[in-house]
Amino acid sequence: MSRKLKTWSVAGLALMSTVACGDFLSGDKLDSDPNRATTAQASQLFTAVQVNTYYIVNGHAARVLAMWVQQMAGTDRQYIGYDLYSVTEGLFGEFSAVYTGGGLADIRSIQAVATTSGNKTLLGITKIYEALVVGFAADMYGDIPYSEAAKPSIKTPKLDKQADVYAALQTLLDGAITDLSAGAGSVGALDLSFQGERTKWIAVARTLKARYYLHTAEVNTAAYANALTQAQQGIASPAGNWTEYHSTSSGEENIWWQFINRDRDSYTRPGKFLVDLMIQRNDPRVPEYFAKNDLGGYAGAAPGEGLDPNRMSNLGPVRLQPDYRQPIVTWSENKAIIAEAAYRTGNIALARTALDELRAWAGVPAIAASLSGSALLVQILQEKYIALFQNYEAYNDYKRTCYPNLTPSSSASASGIPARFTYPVAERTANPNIPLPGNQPKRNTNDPANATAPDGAACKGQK
Amino acid sequence: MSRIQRLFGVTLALLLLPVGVRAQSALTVSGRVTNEAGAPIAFASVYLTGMGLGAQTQSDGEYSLVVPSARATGQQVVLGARAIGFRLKTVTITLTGTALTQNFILESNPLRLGEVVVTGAGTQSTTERLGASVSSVKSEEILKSNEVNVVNALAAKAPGVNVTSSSGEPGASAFILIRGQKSIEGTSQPLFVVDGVPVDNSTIVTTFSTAGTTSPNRMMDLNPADIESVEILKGSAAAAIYGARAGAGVVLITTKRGRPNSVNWSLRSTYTDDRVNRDYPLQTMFGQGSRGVAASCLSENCRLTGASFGPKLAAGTKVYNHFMEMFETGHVSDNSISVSGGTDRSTFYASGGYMKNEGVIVGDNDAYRRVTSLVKGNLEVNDKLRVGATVNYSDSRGSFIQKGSNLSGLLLAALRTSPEFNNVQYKDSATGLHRAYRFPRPGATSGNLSRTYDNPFFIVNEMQNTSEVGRSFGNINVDYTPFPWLFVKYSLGGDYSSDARIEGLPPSNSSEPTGQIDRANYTIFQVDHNLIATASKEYNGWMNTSLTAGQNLNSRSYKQLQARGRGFIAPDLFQLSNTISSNLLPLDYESLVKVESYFGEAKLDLWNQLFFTGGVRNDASSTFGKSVRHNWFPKASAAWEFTRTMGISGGAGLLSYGKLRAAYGVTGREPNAYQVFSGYTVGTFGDGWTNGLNVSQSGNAGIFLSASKGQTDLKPERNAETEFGADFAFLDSRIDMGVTYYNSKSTDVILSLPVQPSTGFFNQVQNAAEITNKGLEVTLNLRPLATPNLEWNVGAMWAKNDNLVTSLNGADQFYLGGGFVSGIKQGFAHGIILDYDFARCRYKETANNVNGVDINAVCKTAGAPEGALYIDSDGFPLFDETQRVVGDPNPNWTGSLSSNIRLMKKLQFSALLDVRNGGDIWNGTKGALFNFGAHKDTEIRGQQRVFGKTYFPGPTVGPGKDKSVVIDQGTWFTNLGSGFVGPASQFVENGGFTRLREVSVALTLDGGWVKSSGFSSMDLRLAGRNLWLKTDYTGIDPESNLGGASASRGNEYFNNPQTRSVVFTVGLNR
Repeated sequence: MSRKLKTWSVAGLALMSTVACGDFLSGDKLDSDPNRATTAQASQLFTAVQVNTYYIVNGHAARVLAMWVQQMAGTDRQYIGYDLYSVTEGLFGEFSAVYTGGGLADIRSIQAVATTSGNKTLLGITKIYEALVVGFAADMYGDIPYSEAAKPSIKTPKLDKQADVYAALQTLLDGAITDLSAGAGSVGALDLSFQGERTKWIAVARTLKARYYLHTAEVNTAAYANALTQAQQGIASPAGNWTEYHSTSSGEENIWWQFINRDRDSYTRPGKFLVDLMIQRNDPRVPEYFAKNDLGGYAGAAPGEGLDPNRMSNLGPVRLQPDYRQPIVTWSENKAIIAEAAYRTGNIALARTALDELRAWAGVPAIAASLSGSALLVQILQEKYIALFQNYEAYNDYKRTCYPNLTPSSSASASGIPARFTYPVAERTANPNIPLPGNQPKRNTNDPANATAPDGAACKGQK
Repeated sequence: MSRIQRLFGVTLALLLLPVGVRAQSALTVSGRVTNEAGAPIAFASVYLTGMGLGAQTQSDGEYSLVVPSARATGQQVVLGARAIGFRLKTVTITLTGTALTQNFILESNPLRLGEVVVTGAGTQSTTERLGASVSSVKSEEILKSNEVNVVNALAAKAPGVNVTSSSGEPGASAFILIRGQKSIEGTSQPLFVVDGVPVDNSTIVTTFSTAGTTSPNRMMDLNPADIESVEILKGSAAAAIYGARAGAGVVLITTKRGRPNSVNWSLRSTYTDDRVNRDYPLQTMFGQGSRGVAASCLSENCRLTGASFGPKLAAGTKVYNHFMEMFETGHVSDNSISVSGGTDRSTFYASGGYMKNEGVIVGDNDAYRRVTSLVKGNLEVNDKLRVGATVNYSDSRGSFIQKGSNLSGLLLAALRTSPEFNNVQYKDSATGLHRAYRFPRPGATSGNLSRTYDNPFFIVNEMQNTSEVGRSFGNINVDYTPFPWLFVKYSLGGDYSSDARIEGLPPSNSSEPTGQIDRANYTIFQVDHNLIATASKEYNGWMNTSLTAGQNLNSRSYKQLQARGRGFIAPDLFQLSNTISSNLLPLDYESLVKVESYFGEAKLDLWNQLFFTGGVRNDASSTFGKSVRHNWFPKASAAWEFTRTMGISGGAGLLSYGKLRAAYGVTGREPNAYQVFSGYTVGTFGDGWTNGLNVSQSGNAGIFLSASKGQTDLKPERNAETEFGADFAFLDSRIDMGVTYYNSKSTDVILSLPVQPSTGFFNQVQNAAEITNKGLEVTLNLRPLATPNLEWNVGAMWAKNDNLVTSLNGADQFYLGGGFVSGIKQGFAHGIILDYDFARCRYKETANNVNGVDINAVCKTAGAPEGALYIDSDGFPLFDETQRVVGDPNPNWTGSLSSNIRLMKKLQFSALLDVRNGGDIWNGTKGALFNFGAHKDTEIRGQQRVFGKTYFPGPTVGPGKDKSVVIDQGTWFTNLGSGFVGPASQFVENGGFTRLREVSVALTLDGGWVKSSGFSSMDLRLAGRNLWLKTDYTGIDPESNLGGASASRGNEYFNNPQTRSVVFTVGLNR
């Protein structure tokens, strides 16, 4: 028996010493996370950047903005509140998405690889994605972190002035055009929009430059001339439209379809203002944009009105498809920029031509020869407002021009249609330069309130 | 059968072999053990000192002990008898002849002086030596609670220990919180240790904690009938021996064991009748529709508004109680059998249990069935070596119902339904397809269309949400005493469970209309090795010392293999292979954590009245950053039995006992696995409103930078706690009381501190926050009557904990997972309800601008008081878009009162009243039902009200003060009065309650036909659980939590409700 006892003691001591000498705390699944990759290829990050961009430009923010310009309306629960401008600083995750994984952090990684490997096609395209999403943040938030953003060495990036951000984006897009013009490198099928067709990307970069010139034009009318120059080299036909990739596969479906058809049926319906406007115009796009209601006709929802499913039209059968390629930057936007910028710079003939091209494409008759002055401008802006259905650029135009002269949806809101997003709570709490929501500016610096709408009437929604 | 189970099985078989060997012609010592009142004491242990022989009394108090003739040589030995709650009694007897009779009358020992208390990691002490407070819960108290989940059974049993069950459903998890929340992202659940080995008590949620289904906490795998005692190490001073795993306290469970020289049988059968304990206030005056216009379905597949703001229903319209129609009477049948006993050198305990719970929700799909077995064997190889093994096996099968914030959630669908819609007929008479109030006419083509909200009867009848768990845990242990002064204890424990889940929503459900199934398998495996050696020395009776050194190695792995399929091929087959293959989404994950620890403890007793303990543990965990791998957790305590100094002993006298104690200790909490690493991740991009977009698209692989930046020098959280206490007994120990004050400070609390998103990361974990908990715990026990025919005991407990988040290291506030409105904010208690409020006078805030109006200026001018509601010019309040604290779910205090009366030794009455004072709950259900016009309170629609007077009474200020307004759908209920639009503050309610948690009457029969049928006694018990509830809360029972056992407390959003029960128990013993 005593031998057994010794065996026990020895076994016990051996166990202790084995462990003490060996490295119990090292090994497989201890020295690294078995669930996450530690490296990523630029091509894989590029897919993420594209998908993340779709979420930024056609997710929650796009839906709320479409409600604020009354192209859509909130018809259920929280969306009624958003339509009544009940928005809080916790509302939009898009700000973070601009910078974090799939955003600027990964764009920077791709650009570093593309620069080293000389893949100027990939470099140029990611610059355009950067310009789109950073521009979105500048449009909505005004001053934003940019020059110091997504740099590992900088822990608290400072806010750049909105005007400086727009200026930097012009330089960035010029760089993209230079890179793409060099003809080096390729992306092929990794590019979900154009399969690496450089000329199409160059045209998109031009249109985007024109768009951003317009964004500064309310405080700097000289920008209209720049916008015109760029737009004239911009997207030359609808075949050059920059659209998202979507399919019927799970996780690849159009986000609007996901929202309305699958996940949040009843939360939003087309807006009464837009439906009425298009019916009144006898616009042939009505059956594309809207579905017939149970009564066989078309009707939109007034802002904040609860759902009346029998009477209210849903999104149309063309748009409400899982594989509908939601437009991001289009020929029609480009054409409308030409028309407006030409009008603003006194080239009425060009303005009329461009407007009529747009109308012909939409299937509505050419404008009357007598149409001129502010009535012509209103017509241009109206074409753009309709063409840019569901696109957040309609909201930027509204802020700049007060077209359409919308009646704010809620009597409770004395401050009109919101003119910017409140900084997200995560950024505010970590950044001492951002004031509490109540003390943040009501409008961005590029967007003073319009006293009047383009037709001269008092602007109802801007304060 | 896993490898470890097999290993246990073989070991056990070997250990049990010697049981059959019996001694030849011998001396039998027998007798009866009773209390002072003459009542028999069951499970008392009678033993011969120094001979390793003992026996256990039967339920009639009888014992019988056999001494082999070879060992009965006429010598004098000490025979002792002891039982929990009674003082040890010894007599000296002479071992001669073949039969001796020795009866014992034991004095009660309410303070449990001299009783051995396990104090963790293989160490033990006696009650009077403890310097840190340890709460004990006895087997009888656990059985009396009639809970099938041991965590629920601990409710109201110890001060400072709060238990909340997530709902009354079969298999619902229970949450235990000891002395307040100390962590933010880590678990607040204590470490559970069964028979010396840490075991898993995780609650794994298949899909979402705020939706999906309830899920059990894994301690449910233990049959409460197998528990002998529970010790709760509440504070860090008591729990420090478990180091970095003990930050939330430790619950030590000891299972029953056999006693030598006896054989005991016990059969226990319980039948329970469960009902939902509260109705829900719904309106039945107005029908489906909007703005007074009825909703009408003009065509097949029409979609109707979800609102019940239609016209007033015509007299005689049939309306339904959409709450109560979802419930029926539920049942629990719980049967346990156990047999235990042993010879002079070997003992065993074996039990089997079968529990079947059919819940209160209509249909058979809310059910939980558990089969348990426990086998334990011990063999004294010789006087120096004891070897033992224990194996628990359980097989649990649960079936659950979708709940919470979920288009396929039971009460979300049921309560929102308009009163005149008949939900019971959930299949359309023409097409046989799923019909629901917003989709009343399903056409033949609607098989894959959303119903907007499901019909609740479709939810309960057609969905499949199941869990099948096989679990085995146990240990092999060895005690070795090579020298009288040295004691070595070794245990090797294992805990393995495998949980196969299905969460399946068939086509036409509203969450994923083409059908969705999640299949998951969760495998948890823990191995624990614990070796200690204790050396002790006595110095002439005035001083005792002991020194313990130990090593602990622990390894825990978790593996999750989960996949989601969408798009059913056959409509009713819950298989991944029955979905369109391109729509599969894998969700697999695994983790491994290893901990290497060394610990030591020194004890010093002086003159049997001064007791000192000091100890330290060093933990190294794979979850700590490499540069900070080793962390120390010290402890020290002192106890002084001052009454002994005064010459008082034996528990007699006006002041019968008095002890002062002081203790300090540090515990910790490990970071989660892999928080030290950064990496790239795959997944989806989305905003929460939709399922989102996969990062890989069109066959192109995608990956993105993880939101969390790794923290390479992450340390464990530390919780340093000081406690002071005193224990007294008065009037010959008829009254005893204990008071404990504690003050704990948790530092290095891990927080995913947001980094500015503009840096490229959302957050990085940091040892950043500080939380304090200060509290007072009081117990008082009275034994006014103790006569042979009438015993009466009264017990009271009271506890208060003040929690404060003292620092978030510069960050402002965070939301907690598992809820909608729970967060933390510097300067407030943990888990506060963080949302919005109406604009009010807030003089303490420097800037109080809402919508461009300086509210405080208006208030000052009007001389309005703090908190006055600002009324805008339209007569309605104004939404204040600054997030703030609008409620605190932490109770002000908790208490309980229990009483026990025993008549004629046979009849026992007992009751337990449980009080929670304060503790806010966000009544999200009410907010949502306001929006839909389904809540009873929305019957006032169309009526005139004045804010501050006839609505939201209280002081008001502002341009619209005293203006009469129409409270209507558009003006209020879907506007600022809606839970979706308006501020949450208006739906925060006091969740305090007083409830009769337990009441019972029990009868023990031990004569006549019971004895003649071969039993020693029979127990009959009729009990009530939760029969009476008083609360101001207007929803379901406030003992409920949306996120189950998550850190978010006080969230109620279409939770499944609680139950009350009537329980009948029959127990047979011999």
